[in-house]
Amino acid sequence: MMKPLLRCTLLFFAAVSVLLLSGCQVHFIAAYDPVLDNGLTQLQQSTEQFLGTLDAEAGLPEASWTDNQSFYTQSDATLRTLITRAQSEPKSAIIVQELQLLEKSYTDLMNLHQTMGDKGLSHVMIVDSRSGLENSYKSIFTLELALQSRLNTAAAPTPAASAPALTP
Amino acid sequence: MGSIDISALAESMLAAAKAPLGNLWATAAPFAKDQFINIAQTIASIGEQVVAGQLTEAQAALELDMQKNAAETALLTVKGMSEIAAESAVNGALGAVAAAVNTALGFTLISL
Repeated sequence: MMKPLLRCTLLFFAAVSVLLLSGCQVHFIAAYDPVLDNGLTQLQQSTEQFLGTLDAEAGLPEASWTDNQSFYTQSDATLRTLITRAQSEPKSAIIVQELQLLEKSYTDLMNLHQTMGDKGLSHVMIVDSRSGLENSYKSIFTLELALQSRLNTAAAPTPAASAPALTP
Repeated sequence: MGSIDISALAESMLAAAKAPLGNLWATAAPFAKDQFINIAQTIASIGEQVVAGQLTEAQAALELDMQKNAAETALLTVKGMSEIAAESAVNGALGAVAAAVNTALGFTLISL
């Protein structure tokens, strides 16, 4: 027979658990989202290709701001879609903020390109911009990997079925 | 114009990231250190390019903003990792008492 004090303690803990946990694990941060992860990987790949091409074409008309505006329109659309998807997940504030900062960096890159007009971005500008973007991506993917590890080691929340699909 | 001390810059960013994390710092330190050194190196490079006339101040401001965004993203990742660590600790504590609670109540209240 269990001692009354121990039983009361356990019941108290159980009551708190019901209130706080609804009978399952606690989650302080959103679930790993493979669609978001894949979308970011594709965006980084297209960005690396874009910067590599610009570097190879430095000084040529093909590297001008006018000839490359479509990249910025497309990457902005992708990022906005990813942000909307992330916003639909509960407890996703950190991930949403990271994506919004990434969006700001793409705007910075676009504005930098615009300042160069027909000349296009110089080699050093591409090196510095690539460094900024890669550092941002590295941080975001590090968090995604940590979320993925959590998914593999314990019961974790899954992305909401209502989250908007990402169309590449 | 004096040169920028990359180590001091990285250390300042590390110190800013360390304070709010407390005991969770050890988990995030290797990632944060690596990221902040990269960012500090690029900031120093941007400064040198302005001095050399390869960048205007307006262009440097845009490049610096990208580095600031990267630094803020690194801090957010550190924060996210600390939340995962805290989450793991709470779930571990619950897991340690789940069997006793469930047995005492006669049904599964805490399912992990």
